[in-house]
Amino acid sequence: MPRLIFADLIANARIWLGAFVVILATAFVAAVAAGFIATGNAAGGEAQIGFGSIGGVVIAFTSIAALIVVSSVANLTVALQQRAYALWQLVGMRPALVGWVVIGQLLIVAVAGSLAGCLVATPFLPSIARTLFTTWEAIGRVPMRFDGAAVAWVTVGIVAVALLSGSRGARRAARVPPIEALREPDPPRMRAGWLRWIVALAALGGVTAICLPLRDESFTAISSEALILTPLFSAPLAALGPLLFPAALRAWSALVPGQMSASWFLARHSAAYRLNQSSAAIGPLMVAISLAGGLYTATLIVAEAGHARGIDGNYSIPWRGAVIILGGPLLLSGLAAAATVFMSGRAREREFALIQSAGATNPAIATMSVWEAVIYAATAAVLAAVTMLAGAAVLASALAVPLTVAVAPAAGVAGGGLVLLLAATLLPALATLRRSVPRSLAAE
Amino acid sequence: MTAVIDAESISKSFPIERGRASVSVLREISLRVDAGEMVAIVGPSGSGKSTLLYCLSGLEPCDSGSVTLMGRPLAGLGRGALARLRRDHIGFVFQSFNLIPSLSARENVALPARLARRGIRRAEVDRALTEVGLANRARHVPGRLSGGQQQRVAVARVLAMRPDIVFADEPTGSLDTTTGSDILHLLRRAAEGPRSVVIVTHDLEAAALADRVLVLRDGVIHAQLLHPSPGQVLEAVAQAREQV
Repeated sequence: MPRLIFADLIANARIWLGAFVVILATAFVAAVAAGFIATGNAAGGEAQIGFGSIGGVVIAFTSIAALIVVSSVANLTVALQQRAYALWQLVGMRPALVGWVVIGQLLIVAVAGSLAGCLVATPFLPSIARTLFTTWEAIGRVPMRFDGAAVAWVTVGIVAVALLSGSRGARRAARVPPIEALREPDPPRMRAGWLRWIVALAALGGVTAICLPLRDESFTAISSEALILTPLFSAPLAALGPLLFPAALRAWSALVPGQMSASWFLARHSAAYRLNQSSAAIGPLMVAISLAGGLYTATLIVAEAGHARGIDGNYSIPWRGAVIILGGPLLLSGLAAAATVFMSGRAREREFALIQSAGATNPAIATMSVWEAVIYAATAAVLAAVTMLAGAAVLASALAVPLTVAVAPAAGVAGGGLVLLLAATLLPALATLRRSVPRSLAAE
Repeated sequence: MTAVIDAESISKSFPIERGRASVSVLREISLRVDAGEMVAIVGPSGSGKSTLLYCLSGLEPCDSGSVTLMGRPLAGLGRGALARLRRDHIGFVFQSFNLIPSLSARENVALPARLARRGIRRAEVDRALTEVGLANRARHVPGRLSGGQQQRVAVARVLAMRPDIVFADEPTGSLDTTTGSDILHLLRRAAEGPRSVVIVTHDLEAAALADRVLVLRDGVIHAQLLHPSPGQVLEAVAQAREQV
């Protein structure tokens, strides 16, 4: 069995590499947070407060994106290999064993990715700390500590998320009817299962519990809760991604006539189809846009309310603070989006070859890839705008100030996401166009 | 008769051992396909059948020789012009991966027209789907269709677009006998009138439906049979195999 596990990892390297990179990036962010907390705990005193709070903020703001990213990518990794699992059963492997092999593969990649992330983060920790604490010299001078226990926490946490997310896929892999191997099995569609509904309802309950009493709270109390309001609104949307994301994509993109161009038509269908299989391309980006937009929107509204009440204060967010809060989600969302597209590259290659054989020119296919990236980024932006507006409306109403939304930071993050998505869709498309159509269409 | 395909001494080889050597797949093949003709290419595995089909259709460039499609020499055409030639004159049916997975059967059938910015009426698309017996599957995506149904959609695409030439590479290779036979008869119908069909197949019954059968061996045309019976095709292929 170990031979099969490793042989399959190598044979499907493209898919597993995507999962590995995403897990590595998640571990990198988690390692920075864990390193801060470990350093603070070891140093005690002022450093413990400083490092502890910043580590906590990084974890709090990155955890939603990390959960979405790791679980979506683990699920997608399994979903993309349905055909291989069916073939394993055809050659006589027991279905239960198929499930265990998949879990074994996920375990190997998750452990390797987590350890690699910790390894990559270690040399960067001192410089990250120095950059973030330039104005807080006492803390900036504390030697960084990232010991075995911190590595173990990061690894165990990430491996647990990856295995929990992949276990459903593994069970599904064990249930793939072998006859599927003789056909072209579609990767299974995502479903909003009972766990997602529970998470969504819990998040919605949390949002309601925070929003309802806001009107009666003091300015200081509202200000301290303002920053988490928008991220909270994005949680139920993210949890119900399988239901909401494709619907949102179809709804807004239907405003553009399909007859506008064949490239647009194909990109729209392709993006919706892939979004049905994994939300990783837009889920984390939505959270990142929503975080950035929500953060600055909350600051604007609180500042407006503060000025109206004659409370002086510095309401701007220093760039270091923005990096602490947004750095992790942005890194993960960009990488996840790119990795998702990269992982399903083989299927896209065939699709492009088929479209070429039907008479599409190379510029038309390149344009289709551009549209696909635009559609992903715009869908994430539309969903994020809903959360930003909801958060802003609640906050503005509680503080009795006009509704204001910080569009520029949200647009900036959406633009950054678009660039990464363009790289993920366009570059592989251009590479595919250099291959001959028959070779791309050849069976594996 | 007007020639829709005219190939002169085409050769093709593929690099092996990381480019240190090459294997010759087609050797100096000359071939003419007339309008309305159905030509089947048969031969042992590795004889170059699919490569010949791809070279004739412009999907694979030849190393030497010339191919003229619809009166246009392929050698002088850029990628864009080749794509337009495919779009306007050629239809393909492959052994598998024939359909765009994100599009419904109806949208897959209408795809070439959409790429050509040529209006195609929904009724025309539905008529083609009805012809292949899939009128009630028009809204289904390929993932919800069986292998045979997917091949039928690919044939419906060809029927709806009425291309001048249809290239089919092992269109029945992964199908059961009955479904395969249905697909072949649909392709045979596609070759009625001015349209031509070039089909690569292992299926002797399929080959026997063609007006002309080319038996390939080691990249050269070993024999040509006019309106042969399945038995004659079998005999010719067996001879080719013996001499490999």
